[in-house]
Amino acid sequence: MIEVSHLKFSYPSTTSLVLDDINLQIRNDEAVSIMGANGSGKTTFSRCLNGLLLPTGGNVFVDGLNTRDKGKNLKIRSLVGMVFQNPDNQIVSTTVEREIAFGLENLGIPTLQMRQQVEKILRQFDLEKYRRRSPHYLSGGEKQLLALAAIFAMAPKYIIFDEPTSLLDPYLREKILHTIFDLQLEEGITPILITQFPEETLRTQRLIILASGKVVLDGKPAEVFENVELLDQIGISVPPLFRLKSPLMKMGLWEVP
Amino acid sequence: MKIRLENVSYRYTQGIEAFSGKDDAIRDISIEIASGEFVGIVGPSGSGKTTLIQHFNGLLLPTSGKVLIDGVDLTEHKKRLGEIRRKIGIIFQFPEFQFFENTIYDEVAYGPRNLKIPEEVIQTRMQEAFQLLGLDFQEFKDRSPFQLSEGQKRRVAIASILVMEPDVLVFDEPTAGLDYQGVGRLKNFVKELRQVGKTVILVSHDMNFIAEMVDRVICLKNGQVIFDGTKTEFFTDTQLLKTANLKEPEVLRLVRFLRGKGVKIPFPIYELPPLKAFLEQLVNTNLNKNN
Repeated sequence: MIEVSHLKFSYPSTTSLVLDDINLQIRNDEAVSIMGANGSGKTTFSRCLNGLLLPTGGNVFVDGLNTRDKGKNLKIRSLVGMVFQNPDNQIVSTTVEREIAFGLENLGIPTLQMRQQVEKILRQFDLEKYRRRSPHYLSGGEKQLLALAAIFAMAPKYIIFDEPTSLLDPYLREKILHTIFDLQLEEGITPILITQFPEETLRTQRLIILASGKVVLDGKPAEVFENVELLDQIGISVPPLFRLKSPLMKMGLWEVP
Repeated sequence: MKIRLENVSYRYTQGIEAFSGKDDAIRDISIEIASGEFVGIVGPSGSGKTTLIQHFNGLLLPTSGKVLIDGVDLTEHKKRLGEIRRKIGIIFQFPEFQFFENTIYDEVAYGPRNLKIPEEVIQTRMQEAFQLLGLDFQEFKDRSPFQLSEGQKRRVAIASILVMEPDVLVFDEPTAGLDYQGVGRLKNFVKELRQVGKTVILVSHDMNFIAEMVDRVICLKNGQVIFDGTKTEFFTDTQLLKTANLKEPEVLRLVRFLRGKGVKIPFPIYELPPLKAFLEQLVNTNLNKNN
């Protein structure tokens, strides 16, 4: 479980709070999505969850480990993997297969086991044909797929996806989401999905809405989207279906997605 | 400004051997885009969309075939590339990677200064561009381009293209990373470009965005054009959408769903407000009938 308690955060030499007293728990048996307008604090929040940023006030515990505890830093980062929006920020190696091996090497995985894991991931992500290609010659979408694959390879317990599908075509997006949710079922990895696509959140059990550094809504996605007016005010995209709820109900055609 | 490609193929030859192998990134593409058109370029990830648009202003020159801009063959007139790049501006994915000046003013003025455009002309153009993009000129001009939100960075990048006064604007995945308001603002801005007669070419995976913005769709797969026609022809061909790894726009999907339920809705509708208005009117008419 990740436990967030009275979390406050402001960047050095500023006074305004980017995160303002956030309290919540993320359990191991749920898939969570987070939405928020640009500047709502969602990226800062996600970086607090794996200790990339430390709280200005309050605490974050990952499986009981406080992110403030320097000695537990590596352990926490291996527990909470992170896939960034822009894969160029993440990719460091000269070939696709080396990129996948990179994180495993850093974790000190024995060579034979590492090779097997790399093969498995190449297959799982359909990247075998690119294995010796330089990541820089992949398309934007393919790079994102690779960045995901490299994090999956390290088998963390939680994975934060910071808008991982924004550059992918709808088919690949679907494939990534499938992979994310399969991992939840099969390997017990808890996905924490930050996204701008409201339809994607309908696949998770819980949707958290952030605005101005505060949690304003937290519940089942289909219930959260009932609050169309509030979501419009804070600039959150609502699936078109929810905007048609009133006439559809009157016509007897409303079904909760 | 007319863009014409004749049998264009491109193969990446630099870099490692494995990639410079047998595959053309784009192959035998012949298309023509007339002045004032609004065109969407779509297709699966890795289908060659970004490679294709880099041919429109000579950032890439074809391995074989011809690119003609207003009849000028780019391969034969390399000296005119500078002029053509001013007229056809490309806004790339993650444009902020190209930022390097200390202030937004200097960043946006960089291109026109290189052309020795007088400073007061630059400033006027910049104020106009900022206004069109909804950025406050006084507030932003002295700030660092690196301390902006995602949406603001994107708008500064667009401003630095607009001050060159291009005839054609090409956007590569402009909605990626933007939030709801950011996308809304972008849509309004693109609609403004239609009012002033610019040519707009949008590369995007966001079919909702494409369906609302363009008239014509060009679809690539494995480096080749597999469709070129009106958006309605494109979005109503479910088999084609599947082949191209793409999804039906959400509003169109709802319209089809409701028609399947026997609701008599005009087809197609791509935007939510007209669909909502139509349904509400339908409900009201029925209420009146029942009374």
